[in-house]
Amino acid sequence: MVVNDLIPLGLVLLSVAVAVVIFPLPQRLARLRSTVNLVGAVTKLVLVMLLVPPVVADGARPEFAVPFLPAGGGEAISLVLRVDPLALFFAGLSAVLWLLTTIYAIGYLKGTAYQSRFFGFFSLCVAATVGISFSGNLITFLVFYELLTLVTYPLVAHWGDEKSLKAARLYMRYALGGGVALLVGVVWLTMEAGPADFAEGGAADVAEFAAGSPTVAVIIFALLVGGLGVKSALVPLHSWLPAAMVAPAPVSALLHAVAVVKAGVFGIVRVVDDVYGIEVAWELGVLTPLLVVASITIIYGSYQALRQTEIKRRLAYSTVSQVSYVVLGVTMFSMAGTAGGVVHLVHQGIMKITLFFCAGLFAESMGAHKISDLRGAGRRMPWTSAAFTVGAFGMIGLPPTAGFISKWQLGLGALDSPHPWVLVVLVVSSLLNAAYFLPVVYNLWFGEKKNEQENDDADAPAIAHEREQVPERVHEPGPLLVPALCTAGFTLIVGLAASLPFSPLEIAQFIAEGVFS
Amino acid sequence: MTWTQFSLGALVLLPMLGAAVAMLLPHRGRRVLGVGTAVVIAALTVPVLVTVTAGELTELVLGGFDAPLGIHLRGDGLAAVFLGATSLVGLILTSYAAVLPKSTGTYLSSTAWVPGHPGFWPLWLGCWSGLNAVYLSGDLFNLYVALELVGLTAVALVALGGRSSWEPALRYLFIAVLGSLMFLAGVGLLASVTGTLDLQQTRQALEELDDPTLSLLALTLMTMGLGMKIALLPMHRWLVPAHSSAPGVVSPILSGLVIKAALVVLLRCWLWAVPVLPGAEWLTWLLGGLGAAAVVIGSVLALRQDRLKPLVAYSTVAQIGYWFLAFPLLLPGENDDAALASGAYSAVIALALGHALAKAGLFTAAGFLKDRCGTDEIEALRGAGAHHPTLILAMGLCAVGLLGLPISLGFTGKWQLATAAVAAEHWWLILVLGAGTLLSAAYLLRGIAPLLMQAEVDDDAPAANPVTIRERVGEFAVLALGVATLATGLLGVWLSDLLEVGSWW
Repeated sequence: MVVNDLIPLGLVLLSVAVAVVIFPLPQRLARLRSTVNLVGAVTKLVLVMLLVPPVVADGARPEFAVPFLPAGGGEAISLVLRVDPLALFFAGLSAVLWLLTTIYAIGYLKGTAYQSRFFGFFSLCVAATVGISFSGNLITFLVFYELLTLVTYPLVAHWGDEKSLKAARLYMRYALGGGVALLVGVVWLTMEAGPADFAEGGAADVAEFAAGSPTVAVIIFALLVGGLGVKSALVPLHSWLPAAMVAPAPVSALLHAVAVVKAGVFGIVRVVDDVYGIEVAWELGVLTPLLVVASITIIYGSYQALRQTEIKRRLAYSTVSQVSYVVLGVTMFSMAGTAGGVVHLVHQGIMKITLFFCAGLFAESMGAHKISDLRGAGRRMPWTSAAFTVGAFGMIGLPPTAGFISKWQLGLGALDSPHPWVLVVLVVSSLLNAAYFLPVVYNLWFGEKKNEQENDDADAPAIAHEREQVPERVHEPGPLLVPALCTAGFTLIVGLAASLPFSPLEIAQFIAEGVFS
Repeated sequence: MTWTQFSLGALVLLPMLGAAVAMLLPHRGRRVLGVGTAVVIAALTVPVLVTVTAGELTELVLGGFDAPLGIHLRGDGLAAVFLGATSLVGLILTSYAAVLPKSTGTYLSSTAWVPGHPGFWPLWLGCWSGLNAVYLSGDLFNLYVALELVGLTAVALVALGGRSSWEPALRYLFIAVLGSLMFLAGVGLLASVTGTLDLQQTRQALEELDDPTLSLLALTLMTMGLGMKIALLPMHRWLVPAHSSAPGVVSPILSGLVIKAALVVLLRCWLWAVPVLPGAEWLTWLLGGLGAAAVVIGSVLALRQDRLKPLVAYSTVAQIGYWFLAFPLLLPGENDDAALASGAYSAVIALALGHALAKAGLFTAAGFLKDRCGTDEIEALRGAGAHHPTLILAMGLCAVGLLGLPISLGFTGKWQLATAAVAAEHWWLILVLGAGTLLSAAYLLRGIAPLLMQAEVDDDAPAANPVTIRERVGEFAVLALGVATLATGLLGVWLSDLLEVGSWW
């Protein structure tokens, strides 16, 4: 296959084009809107999949560059879109999940207002994510990162009520604050070491600069990671994330699995591995503090998740915790650890999106928002409950799910690294994960609907009684259920087939080898 | 005479001619004439941009009288980029005004106030002629005359807004005249020393001068006069009532274009007419400090507004601050290199041009909502977005430009300013830029977010007052400004290349 340099640009513009077509569509043309959406999503998925063999196996690096910012006297700084294995890894995740989330969202929002606006911004959000994944230097990354902030705002505020706007405002405040810190870091680094093109093993200019003035390099690193840490919800910069749960379920799913939170973590991986380079970062002594922050985030997030009684909030705190596994992996300074962190980018995405899809299904079909509402749901919504169970087992890290592969790999990395104590963090966190997910699963399958009489209307006790005897099946809408089952299936397949060629784990190991080369 | 030279002359004279002809026509004819003139002006800008892109400077001496006596037009990089931006914004706003005449003000017929003021057309075309003359003028006196033309037509444009706008217009008139007088006094002082008004000759004469006191005094006077016209804090009080009470399409002209004319004159004085003066250091620091104060105070005041148009007007006060922030970096000192100064200069231009597009769009949108809903109180506009998705999208795009987020000229400008600040180790500048960005996010959200809310009463208002085709077209005009805000963000490198042509260094 001929790999054209325009492919990365085309992939970004594809989602933009979908948005441009969708925005002016009147509300009533639902079928046309869905068709445009799905055609765009499928095309993107196919293109990304076709890129995998040439980029991973043959080492092709399609690159598109256009001059963007004038630099005083020197060469202009360019916007660079380049496909490398890590970029493809992230783009592949976003392509798969975009398709599934679109299907889900079409079902979820059926009959509600402002759909053209929603799907328009949804596509722009994906465009920004693709841009982030293909960014070839820090400036390009920054451009798409800020774009992501802007286009997710209308999505979080979608319902337009007081609560949504408040959450969206909080999100905006955090994200822009982080964006400014990141901008300052990027400006400074660019002044000191040039535009910092991403390179496997770190940019040469940056390494030279770090050797010359280590203190400044550390400050810039702190600014960059601090700015990125807001989106990736590192403690103590995480509180926007649970608040943003008021958004429609597909938005939460996208935010947690691939878009916002992941963009932050992906940025941290890029900064550590491809800008500074892991060796340089290790010598600067910045990895260990970040590792500690990640460990604290993992434990604290799990602890907070345990305290929540609402399903979506529990999932939100679980994201805070789970996403930091990625940071943990790339900062523990071992090849297996880096592979574990990178592969968790994808694994966490598919597992968490399963859980969010299911949470949305429970809320839509049974009106269940609290964990106690889920008692006995296993008999009423068996398929959804099964998918949720798979996702939850994945989060705990039970074999044969994807989560097990991640944790196994991270554990190997920890033993291999200068910080064996990380293993304790992993074990404690897994116990906490089990502590907050197993009761939910237990409720689903073995819980009795004890409070039925109190909850139901006064004039319907007889029906309620009847329902308790023979649990009534609740309709699980197809467009919502199928994506959830797909991602649950992926969770299992990825876990079982981890050693096959082009599996996420194999690609992650390939990337980790590049990092340590 | 080449095409480009012809264009230089025509860019000044054609709108003037249009203004004169417009006075003779009925209202409808004026609208057609206005759009036609705008299209021709935009077409005339193209050869100038092409020539400057090729790296050539175009000069035209009207009537064959050479400097120091004649009228001397200079098409350099600075002129070209401002001509380009003005033609783009002017064309869009002219079309908007032609489609929605009620945005041009109200006039008192024998019995009642009637929306749509025919006086807008000659005034606006006259103002446009003045703007082009400011960009192209090569000598101080012509700069003064052109600036005066812009200022007086702008005052008259404000007054088109009906009775409530007369008082702000009068106040604006006082400031405009006072500012012009101070500028003229400075010009007179310089001319008394140098014996010439031509920019280059003035500079040569001043470089040979031993005692910088007089030129410093002249520079200070000119700067104060122009500072008033630009509305630099603390001389900003006139701007908010004038810009917010002006008719719907006039506010964007004032905020987007008119204050830029004074900025261009200021840059011409500082960078072209006057060489680096030994005592001017403190003045640059004063301007930088006032700029920082404007960014912070203007944003905080914007945050406290309950009405949309004053909010946008205060945002202009804040954005003006950014242009002055760069002043301490603008003059190459003993140890700073020239690349730094040129970077800061290019940053100011990028910020000003980005502001011209974005603010014109946002003000037009605010005026649109005010014309349509009868009020611009933010509370009353809740949920207005439901019926105007295009408009809200356009406002969002303009907000990106004002925030200085990528991709926009606002971002390019901030980037250049920040890199220059890092290179010169002026860390306070980074702090101001960061604080300004966050504060502007806060006030823009305050202005735009309520429009996204779901209206409390959903059914009666839209049915009674459906959106007309003309209004739809108007919305797309605003969208064009929003899209231009983003699209120009990719032109940063071209822009800084253009500015090299005929620059002072």
